[in-house]
Amino acid sequence: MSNIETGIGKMTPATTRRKRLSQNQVAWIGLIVLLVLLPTSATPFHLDIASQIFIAGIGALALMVLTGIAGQISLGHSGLMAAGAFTTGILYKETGAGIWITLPASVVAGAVIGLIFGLPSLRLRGIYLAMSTLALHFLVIYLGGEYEFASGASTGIFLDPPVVFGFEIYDGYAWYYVLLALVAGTYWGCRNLLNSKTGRAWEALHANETAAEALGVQVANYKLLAFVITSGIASFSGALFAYYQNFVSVEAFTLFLSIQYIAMIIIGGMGSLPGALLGAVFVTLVPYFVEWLMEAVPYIGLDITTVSSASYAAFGLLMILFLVFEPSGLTGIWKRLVGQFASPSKREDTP
Amino acid sequence: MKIKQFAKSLVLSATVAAGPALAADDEVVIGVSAALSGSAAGTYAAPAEGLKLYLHLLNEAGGVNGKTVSLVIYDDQGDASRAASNAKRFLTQDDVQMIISVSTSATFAPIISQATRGKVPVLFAGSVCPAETMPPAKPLLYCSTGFSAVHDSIAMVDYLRDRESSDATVGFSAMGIPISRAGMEEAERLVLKADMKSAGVEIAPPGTADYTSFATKLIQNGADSVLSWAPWAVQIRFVDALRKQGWKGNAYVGHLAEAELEMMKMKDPNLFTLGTNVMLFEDSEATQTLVNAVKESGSNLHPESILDGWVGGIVVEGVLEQLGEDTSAEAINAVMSNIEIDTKGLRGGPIKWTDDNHFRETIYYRAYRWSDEKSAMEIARDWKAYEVE
Amino acid sequence: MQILANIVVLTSLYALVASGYVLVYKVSRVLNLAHGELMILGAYLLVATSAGIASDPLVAIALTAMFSIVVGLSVYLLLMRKMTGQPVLAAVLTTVALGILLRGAMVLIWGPQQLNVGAMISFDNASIALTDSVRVSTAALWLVVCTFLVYLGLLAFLHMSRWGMRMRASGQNALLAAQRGINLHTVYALAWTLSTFSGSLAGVLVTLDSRIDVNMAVIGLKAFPAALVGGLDSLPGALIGAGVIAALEVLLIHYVNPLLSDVVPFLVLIAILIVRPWGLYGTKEELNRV
Repeated sequence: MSNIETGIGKMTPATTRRKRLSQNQVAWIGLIVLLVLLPTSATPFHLDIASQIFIAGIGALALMVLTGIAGQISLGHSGLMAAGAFTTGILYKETGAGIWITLPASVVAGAVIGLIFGLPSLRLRGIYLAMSTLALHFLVIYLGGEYEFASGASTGIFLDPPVVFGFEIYDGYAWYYVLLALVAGTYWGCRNLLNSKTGRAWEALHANETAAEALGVQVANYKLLAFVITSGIASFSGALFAYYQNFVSVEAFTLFLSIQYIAMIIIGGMGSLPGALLGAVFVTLVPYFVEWLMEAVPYIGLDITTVSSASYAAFGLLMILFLVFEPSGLTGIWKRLVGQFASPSKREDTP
Repeated sequence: MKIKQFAKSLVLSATVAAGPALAADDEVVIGVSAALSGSAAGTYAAPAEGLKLYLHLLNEAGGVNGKTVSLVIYDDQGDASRAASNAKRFLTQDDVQMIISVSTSATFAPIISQATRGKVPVLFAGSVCPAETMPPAKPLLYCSTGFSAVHDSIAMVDYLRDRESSDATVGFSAMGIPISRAGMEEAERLVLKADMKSAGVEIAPPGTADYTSFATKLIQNGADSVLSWAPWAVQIRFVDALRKQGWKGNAYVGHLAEAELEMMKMKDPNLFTLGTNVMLFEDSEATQTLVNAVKESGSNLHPESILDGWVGGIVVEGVLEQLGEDTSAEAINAVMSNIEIDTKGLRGGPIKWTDDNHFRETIYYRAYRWSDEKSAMEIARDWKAYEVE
Repeated sequence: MQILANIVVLTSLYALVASGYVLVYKVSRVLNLAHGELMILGAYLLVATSAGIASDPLVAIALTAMFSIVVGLSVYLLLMRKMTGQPVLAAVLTTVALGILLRGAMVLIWGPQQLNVGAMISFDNASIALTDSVRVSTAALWLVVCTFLVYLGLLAFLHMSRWGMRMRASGQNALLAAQRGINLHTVYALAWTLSTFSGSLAGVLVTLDSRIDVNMAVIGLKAFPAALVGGLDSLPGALIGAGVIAALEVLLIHYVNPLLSDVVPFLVLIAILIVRPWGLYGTKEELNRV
């Protein structure tokens, strides 16, 4: 296709592409520079929020690949994160293992659980499948609770800050850069995966399973692969959560957490990797935004319980508004904005 | 609606703290992480107000030795991640000299973990006491409430032995959270040690909506009496489920903030609460002060529901009294690790902390019940002291 | 025997709640994940009517039933109607969002504290002896009776009335039904209304039996495997599914480990679904829905 295009109009498309590419590159470089420099002017509190967003971003990317790309619904996301957190917590508590053992072990544990709970997907679809992932959630939480009780860790398992190459990661700045690198790495990995044969197979089976099968896609294998890979990543983000917060307890992984992740991919925009990250930013910030609103308007005249439940209700309302009025999410809004800016220049380019 | 004013002042204190938290020499900054909303708010929002109210009155009276308290209150919804976030904010942004937790046991791990790192003392002032505060206590962690799964169990079993025949069968009901389970398993051990029989420990998963089957099992196992130690909603629904099946035995439950009002509605003479707080139907100087303070603040909260937070305020006052020029976290911790605080008649005895005991050296329990004759609440057994080992 | 009685009561509760899932799913292929919240909303409506309008228990309950019909209708007209024609996943997620919204709103209005509804409408939930050793509460007995009546009524309605026929037709093939002149919006609105009504009834009865707080919405989640085991579009299936799940729960609590009563129903659900992906009595769906 592109050969033909360049063959017909030699000059214009080539310059457009170069220009576009550079625009895109400029945007990316700008974003990276911004993110790298951000801590210089941020308070520790801002860094903490940013770090939470990065961890949520890794989890949201995983769910986006599974649900948004491969089309498999999961309500077990929180359970998978718990699996990762507990693998790390238990290994650390029982053996004192370092981060180089606990993190890979968490990924493997997540992948294995993903494989097991991906199996029903070969028979089940849609809502029925979502239910079987709900079983995963309850099972992991049950096992985690039993471990906490049996080991006498009634307030949870405590973790010391991880040590990497002799450096202890505790400080907010250190965590910021470590998590930034990890979320960027996950994004990059997912993007490459989507551009590969695997990614195309996932999109095909999302669009129409029967058709994909007819086209020679091994549906069963690719479905399971989607579960294995994304569960590994989700579990990884759970382990990071454990290290970042210095503790693991079942009470941190509720069903509502799974719903929050689903909200992230909806609000971000189904099927878009940047959307997953935008959704993570948005959903993490909503409660802080409401809190800020309270501080900005001190005489709003509501008691604190009211405001907090109002923010809970507002979260549901936001989800509804996106689903009804903006099904393509923040990415959709972004694209439209960019489209409005870009369209005049496009017209200039085309003779 | 003074609760609005309360909320406003919460918001204001939060606003003050959001700016650069400049702790003047005569001002002690305390961070409070409380479950002000979410499913646990019904239990913890009120004690948080009690704490706030007491310290507000203290500041108005000029503080202690010229020192005043500035509270920075954040909501954690009883959620672990939010509590972790709050604790980090206290330490890195608000530079607090002390943290007070009025929230669920789910938030203990993150609070303990952050505060220990930041070397800032933590006072648990509305919840069950974490095991870390009991001997051998971990440094920096203190508890002013009387709730302890293990000690409550000791007192409950002891009282139960007073009332029940020596060959009675006792059933136990816990909630499926580690702290409640540990308490009831301990109680079962004590009952068996006293040569009584156990009808088993029933553990209901969190979020159980129907307790009928759990109750059936205890009844069929021949329970003459039942012990329960869990959040109030769980304890009382369990008792409801027993009564619905016509069970008439004695039920012993932990004395929580909701107890007095609920028991006055239930009028069940075979329901006993065991706990370390007084009920407010008694007229003493201390209870009057509390009730009047709530009335004057215009809050529509029930006075008994704020008691633990109020006592938390008394503890803060006691610590400030002993505090010298140095108001650093380290100095505060040094004072807290060796102190005796008069609870002014709201508890059976003083709160006394030593180097390796940040809970209580001696803990006093009282039993309450509804009396049909008086048609009012009554003391079923007065204060009894138990040594904490 | 008491165990059997417990199973029957719990079956009735799950069946009554599950009927709400089935009604909506049967006609519109949408799974209403806000059903648990709508159920508790029904109970809170009773709190509101008894506190504000009527103190007589029967009048309060009748008014609550009317309000719940209004709620069901408005949920469809104001929200779910906009989702017709959208992908089913979007519609399901909309109900999730609605559930969150309702939860927040209910705490906002009625506070986080547990309320004793029975005491509010002076309903005496006395223990009734069925035999020497079997006792159930008054509210539980009402629950069993109501579930029986609701199922009888619904089955008669679906199979004998004209609108019932239309509802079934729309569920089987919406396009064909529309071509035959059936107004789909009316049919869907009817399904949502009936579903919310039966849910509210369950909510009122179960909270009269114990107490009410927002967390009781979890019953919706527990009744869910019941609806799925039976097959999401079959009312008799929901009844049998409720029986299976309730029996499993009660027996696990009684003989094994109560903590497993959250997990095992879902595992059994997976096992049944792997053998019969559309539930015991559900219609096999050829289409790749969702």
